Amino acid sequence: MENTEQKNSLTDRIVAAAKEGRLKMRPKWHFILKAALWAVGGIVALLTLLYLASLIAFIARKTGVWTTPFFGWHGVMVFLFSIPWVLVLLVLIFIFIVELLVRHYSFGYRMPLLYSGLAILAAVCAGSIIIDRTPLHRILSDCPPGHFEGGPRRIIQFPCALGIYHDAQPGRFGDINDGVIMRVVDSGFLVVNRRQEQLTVTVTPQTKMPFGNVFAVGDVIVIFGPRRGDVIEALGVGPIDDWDRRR
Amino acid sequence: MEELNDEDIARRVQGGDIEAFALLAERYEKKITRYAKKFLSQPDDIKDIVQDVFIKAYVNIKSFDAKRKFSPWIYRIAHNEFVNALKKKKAGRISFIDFDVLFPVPVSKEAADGNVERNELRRQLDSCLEKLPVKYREPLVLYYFEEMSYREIAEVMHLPLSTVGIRLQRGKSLLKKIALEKFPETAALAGAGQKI
Repeated sequence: MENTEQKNSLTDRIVAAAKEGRLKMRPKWHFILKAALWAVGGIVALLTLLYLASLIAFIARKTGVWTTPFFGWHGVMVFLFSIPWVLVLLVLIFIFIVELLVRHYSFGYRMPLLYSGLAILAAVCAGSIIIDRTPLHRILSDCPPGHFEGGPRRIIQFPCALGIYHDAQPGRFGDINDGVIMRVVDSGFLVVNRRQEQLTVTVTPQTKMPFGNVFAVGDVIVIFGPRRGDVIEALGVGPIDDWDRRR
Repeated sequence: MEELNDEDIARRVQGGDIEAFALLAERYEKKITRYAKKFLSQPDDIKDIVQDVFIKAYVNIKSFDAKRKFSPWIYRIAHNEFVNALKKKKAGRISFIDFDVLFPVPVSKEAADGNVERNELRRQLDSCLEKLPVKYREPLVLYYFEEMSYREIAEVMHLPLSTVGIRLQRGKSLLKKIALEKFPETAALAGAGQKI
């Protein structure tokens, strides 16, 4: 009896409040807008994540940093000190944000966190490699084709991007040098770097060439080893996948 | 009107039929109150919390997709309210990251408990609920008292299906342990082959 009265009172109270206008239904557009904001937030976060991840790929490729672990323990240490940790941290934060946004949807919460996390990671890796193959970062970094030969030629001004792309410039990392082979000589190579400096690379039997030892004039290479004046004592040499600078 | 299903009634409410909401509220009040009592195990402000559930259901009724089932939708609102109530009272520890959700686990099939076994489990759940951690308590309540399927529980709790299975399995084992500690005399029954 008491239960029935309580039931009626709760139902009655809500219905009465609705009739008197004290309780109002939220309009349909409120939920559509909310859903749209979630979707837009998700897309923006994903695009930012793809941009940052592809920027890491761009920097690693452009500087040849990714090759250094192949040159032994010293190379591994240089790699650890040289990768842009701030960008890596930002990528991790955005993966977390995207994961949170994805779990808002049924396709996200229906799978274990590990699966959705790995799916995001795989999508980011694939997406960043694809974006790195586009001219996006080259344009933003003020490094168009011909830059190497013809000097700076800015296509679009992005002042705020300069700080970020500073990471992609040579000379930031100790023991990592890059350049285009101008001549192959008995003792090694003559290369010219982005600052138009002519450098002599000395190759010894101890020099590691994990990606092969066949280099030709015009190849862009990373030279791992200490530089003394205009001479680099090569501890390792590898190719840089830099189609922008290839001659 | 009485013969209409929940989804049809919800559609009428969405169309502006306020009276129709009374029917929905009547159909679910008892269930949601029972769910609240079992889940929260704090009878003092349950009436208010249940009322908030129905107010939220009314206010947000236009977000309900009438092509889907109404029951998981209103239970989801209730789940959120109850979790918020627990957080306010700090009565149950609800961790953000849970290893059950983090890693994939083999999906345990829905247990086909017999009636006697189910009733026995309900009885034990009733007496030991408070001792069960929240994360095991809720799926057990939804499964044994609200008679929901794994899929419906997953929708209400926003969890992977496999996690629901593993929590029910672990919850039952824990319940067995607690029940044996609380009522040692049932140990004899358990030893005689009564499975929990």
